[in-house]
Amino acid sequence: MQVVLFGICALLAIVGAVGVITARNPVYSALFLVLNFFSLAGLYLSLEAQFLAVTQVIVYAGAIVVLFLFVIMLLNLRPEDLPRFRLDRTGPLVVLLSLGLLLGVGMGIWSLLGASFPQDPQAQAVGTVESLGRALFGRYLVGFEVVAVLLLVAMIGSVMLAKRRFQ
Amino acid sequence: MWLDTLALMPVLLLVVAGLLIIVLDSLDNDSPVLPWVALLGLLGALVLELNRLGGGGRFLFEGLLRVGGFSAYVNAVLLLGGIATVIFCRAYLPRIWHAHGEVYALVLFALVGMMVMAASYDLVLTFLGLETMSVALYVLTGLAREDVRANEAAMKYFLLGAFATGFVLYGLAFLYGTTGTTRLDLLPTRIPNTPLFWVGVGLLLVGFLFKIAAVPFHMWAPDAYQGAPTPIAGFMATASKAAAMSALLLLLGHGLGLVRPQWADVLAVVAALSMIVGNGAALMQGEVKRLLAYSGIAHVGYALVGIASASASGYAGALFYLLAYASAALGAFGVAALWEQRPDRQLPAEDLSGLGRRHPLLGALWVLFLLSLVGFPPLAGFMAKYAVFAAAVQAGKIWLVLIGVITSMISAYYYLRLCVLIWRPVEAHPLPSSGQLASGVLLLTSALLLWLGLWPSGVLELVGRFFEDSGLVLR
Repeated sequence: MQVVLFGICALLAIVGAVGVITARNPVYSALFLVLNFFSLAGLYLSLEAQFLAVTQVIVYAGAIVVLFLFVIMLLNLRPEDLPRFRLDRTGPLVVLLSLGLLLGVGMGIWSLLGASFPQDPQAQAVGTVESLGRALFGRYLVGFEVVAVLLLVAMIGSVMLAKRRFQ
Repeated sequence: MWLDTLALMPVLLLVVAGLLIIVLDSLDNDSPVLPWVALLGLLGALVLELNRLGGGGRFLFEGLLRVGGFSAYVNAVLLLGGIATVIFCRAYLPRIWHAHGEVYALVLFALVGMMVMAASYDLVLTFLGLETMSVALYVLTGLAREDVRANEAAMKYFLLGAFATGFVLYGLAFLYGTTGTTRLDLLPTRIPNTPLFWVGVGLLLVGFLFKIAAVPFHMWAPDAYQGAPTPIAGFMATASKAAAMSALLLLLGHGLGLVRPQWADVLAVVAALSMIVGNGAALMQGEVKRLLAYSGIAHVGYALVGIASASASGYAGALFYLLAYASAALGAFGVAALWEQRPDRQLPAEDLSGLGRRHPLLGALWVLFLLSLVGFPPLAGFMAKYAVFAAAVQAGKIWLVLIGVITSMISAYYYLRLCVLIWRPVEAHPLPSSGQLASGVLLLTSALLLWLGLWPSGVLELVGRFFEDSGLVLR
């Protein structure tokens, strides 16, 4: 059951990811991205990370893709402006480097087949809201506060850069 | 818990000062008080950090962070960089019509991220600090919004930086997957011998080497520094490199200290490439900020020689090098910021001619900073190079030292050219910005360079005490 679920979700995730970069119409790209996000949420569910799956759908598939679509709408692209997906001069190099990275990571993962992972005794319940909340407001409280500064920086920065100021 | 929070006072002070600046700025837009608020926070934090410099480190929050000792030293370097940056910004930004109050808050928040990195013993926290620093720097790089070059710089830095962030996260995920921990104090006992672990380490290294602009991940640096406001370029070249370098040192020296042979050679190659490419490319630069960017890449190489030695004396040498380089580079960028007068914010080398005759003091300081960057004997740069090279010789990496010495000699050519240029008998423009405070900072920096060069033993002993012989335990 779990293997079948993994297979379906993983396949859909890859199809979505390839679709994002090959689709000619940016709206299709955004919709492929939604497909990718939903399949990832399915993968998270199969890893018992319920909270992560829910946030993945709400934040990424919901809010962020809507923002993408708004931007695409505001850009108002005509069909003839859209570039065709093709490999130019740097294409072979890009493909080579990507394949190299894929090979490196793939070999690393391949070597793990049949290996045993260090078991974290608390790992069973790690994906629930409760355990996540305990970690966030317990051990990682400092990190949580640093994220507050990080978000504030992003906010201040975007306001400062976007504000129209003539001096 | 509360005592632990109190121990984070220097960081909290910066956060409070940053928030205060935002509130004051909203009440009185771009008020001249704001840099002073920033300076007050920075000086307070510096005093607190210097106060616990000598003592050993202390773990906080169940081993999440460690303050004092190593982190106090790095934080002091970072805060010095922050103070100089705020003062130079105060003199420079009104001239390019961008004296926004938010700049000072962003500099403070960037420092918060850096100081978290220098103290963090959990890679999750290191990552958060790295991102806080980077996001603030992306914004500061693109400050001159109306300038195409600034937009290009910010865009390049942001896109490549986001890419590097992806590498760090990917590596972090593999590291956690294969060891079951992100804590640097637990990592040494859990290092598995699986390729996936090493893939993770490699990806982490790529991300960190990008942030310190080491070859071959250095491409963004010259463009970013050229487009950024000059004092901010100085900030990026010194403080952000020092922070990322110290986090790298914690990860490699502490977390992966037991498997030193595996990463030492990789770092040695990166160090050699950085020294060769950085100095080689700097020879061909006509714009001072680009030249200083390439020189910064080369200096990262020299500091990496210390880490690549993988010994206590090497780590200590790298820490000493960070201070020596930061003081000299901050000074050089400071002089450039004071002297720059073109509306497109460029500073071609020939614009420097006449600087020395018009302002002998500023000219003398400029020569002093550049000589320290060359590594001229009585100055800090010499002692710093000596410290890292001696450690590399002890570690048996003679070839690395040879490359270092030869590239240093090559670098003397372009530094000395800039030194000679300013004494040309040309009629030069007066100093565009009146910066008594900035000149004061430059004087203090040069005094620091002389002190570190003539009496280095105090600081060298101090940084040496952070590391025991195994290079594993940071006191």
